[in-house]
Amino acid sequence: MEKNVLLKVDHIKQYFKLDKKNIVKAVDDVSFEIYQGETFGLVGESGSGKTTIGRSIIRLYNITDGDVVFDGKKITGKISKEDRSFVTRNMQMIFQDPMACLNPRMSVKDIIAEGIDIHKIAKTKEERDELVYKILEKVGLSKEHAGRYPHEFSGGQRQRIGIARALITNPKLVICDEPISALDVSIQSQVVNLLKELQAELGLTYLFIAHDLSMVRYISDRIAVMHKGKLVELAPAEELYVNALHPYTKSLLSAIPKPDPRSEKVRVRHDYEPNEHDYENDKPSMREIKPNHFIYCNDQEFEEYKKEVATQHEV
Amino acid sequence: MSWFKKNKNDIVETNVIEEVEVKKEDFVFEKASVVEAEGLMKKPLTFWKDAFLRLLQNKFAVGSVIVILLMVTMAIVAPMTSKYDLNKAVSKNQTLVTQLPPRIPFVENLGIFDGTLIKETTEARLATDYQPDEYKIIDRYTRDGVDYVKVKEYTYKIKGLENEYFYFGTDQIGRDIWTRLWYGARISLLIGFYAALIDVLIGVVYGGIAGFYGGSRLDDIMMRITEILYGIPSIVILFILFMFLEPGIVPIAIAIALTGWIGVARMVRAQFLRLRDQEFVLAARTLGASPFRLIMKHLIPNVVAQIVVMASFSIPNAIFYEAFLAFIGIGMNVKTPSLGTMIDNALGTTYGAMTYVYQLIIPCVVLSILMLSINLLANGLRDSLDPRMRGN
Repeated sequence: MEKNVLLKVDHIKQYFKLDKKNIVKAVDDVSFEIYQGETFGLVGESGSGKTTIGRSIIRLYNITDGDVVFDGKKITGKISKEDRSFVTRNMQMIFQDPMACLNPRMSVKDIIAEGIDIHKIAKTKEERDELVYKILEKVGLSKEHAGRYPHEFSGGQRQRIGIARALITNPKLVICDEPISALDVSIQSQVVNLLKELQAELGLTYLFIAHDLSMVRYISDRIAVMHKGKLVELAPAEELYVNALHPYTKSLLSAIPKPDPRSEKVRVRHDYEPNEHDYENDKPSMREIKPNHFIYCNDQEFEEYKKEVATQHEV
Repeated sequence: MSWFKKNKNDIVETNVIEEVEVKKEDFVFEKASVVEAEGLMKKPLTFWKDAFLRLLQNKFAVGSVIVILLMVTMAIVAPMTSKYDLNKAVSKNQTLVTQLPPRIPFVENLGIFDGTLIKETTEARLATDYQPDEYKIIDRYTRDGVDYVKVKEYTYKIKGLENEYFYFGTDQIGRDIWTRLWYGARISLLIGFYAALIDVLIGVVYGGIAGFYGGSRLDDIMMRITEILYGIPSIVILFILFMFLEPGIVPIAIAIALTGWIGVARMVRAQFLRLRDQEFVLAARTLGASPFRLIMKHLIPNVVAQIVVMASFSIPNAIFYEAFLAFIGIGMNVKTPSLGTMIDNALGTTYGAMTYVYQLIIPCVVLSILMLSINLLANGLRDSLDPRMRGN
């Protein structure tokens, strides 16, 4: 399979000024690439900067430093009107909170058709309606729902409306910002399967941000692990779950509960101590320890990880 | 199965749990496309329809609407249909008919609004003051050695106006109070309406800009300006203003709105700040919505309810403030009376003597009813537009 880079995130930094002295480094020097048609999972604890990365990529924040290249175009900083229109049409976002992500004063039809209206996709009112009904059916709702208001829907249904709104402009990349974490488990699987179906049908690329590790494993092709604004490990999904190297990743994986009382009984949680790294002189960076498996480490750790890799099984 | 039991002995048991083999076939794929086939029987309620239905359930609010509509109708119709002029004193046989008591047909038979005045005179002057059929003695008493009589005089008969009806009487220079009262109500309502309109217009634009660019230098400067304005006593501004302006409906409304918009602006700013970072606004931004579209489609519609409530509360405030201004002498001029100026005028004639107290009571009662009903309506609007804000 030929890999086309759809999105290239190149050393982006997103700092927020608290006051004159203090700044928060929400995202600190992060680079990765997302290939056409894949699902790229981004995991990490609360406050690790996953959501901030998503929002920085889609230009909700002005990034402090670095570049984002989308489909061959640089989309950071001041860009032309055409490029902005290109980004807003081809990159969309699905939000976390199904209660807050729909305007309570707009009907479902108007919510979904917002992209059509802004980019003037439909020429007539009938065409607009037709597009809305089509996408509604695609996400598992019916056109009878179009005239209703968000408060009349359940959480899962609202999330479908949010997905429909994101897909109406036919985007290439959809950033899913914890789209399932506010839903209950049975609805979670519905929505995730819907996302998978739509991906197969429309050839979408996802940046899937989540903290539910088992769900990320299920949907992602490659997974990046974030900690305190930095990427610590990046590997194909199965590889990461089986052959995790970074102590933070191991700690995260050790926290996944297993639906089996016996293994649950013997499961040991590893704590992660950021202080265990000695980065005083030997500065860390992202290194490829084996094909497609990257890890954030310094020279000394790199050697240790290499020894560890030798003991691991291939996936 | 007892593996979850806390007892130590039981934990030992867990080692002998049967092997349960989980096969892939045991699992069923959760269908992604499940359309809940719910009955779509009734049409969806829009926000405003829903609020309207809730308002209808509020008896006080409905009553207030009726009273307000009645008042507005009277304010429009009564001065036009009245046979007496607004500013011309009524005269009969070349004399002005001043200080006539209220007299309303049919109601006069009940003993109220019957065109009589209670007056006090002395026993000695009774015969010279009145013809024998012009009065009825209510009370006799002696004070400081003088014999006093309290009489009910038939004023209309004395003035030779048995066929005339001044519903609310006439004032000290003989103008019909009924005509002036409803004209005054019209002026007061207009002032209230204009003041609320100016409040909302300035407040929404100002607060909207500050809120949309919230946290920026612009927002900072704009909010400091409102604080400075808020700190200046508005009465002082008004006195300065009326040194240059002739008091009229619009200048007074402007004067009242001078500081009134600040409350609206602060509310709108706060709401914009709250809404600005909500996900539906972010979603619109990722779709490429312009700031204009964001404000008009996403922010304003979510604040309209609060704006309506604030505006409806600011109407009675403005009316009352105008009455207060009239009372301290910088209200409307005498030729275009408002309720406030009427009360101010009546107080002059009522001082000390209760004889002509009707001139004071009538505009006061109308003012109170008007303010009460607008306040009740505003209350009802708040409850129906924002159910979470429901008062007790």
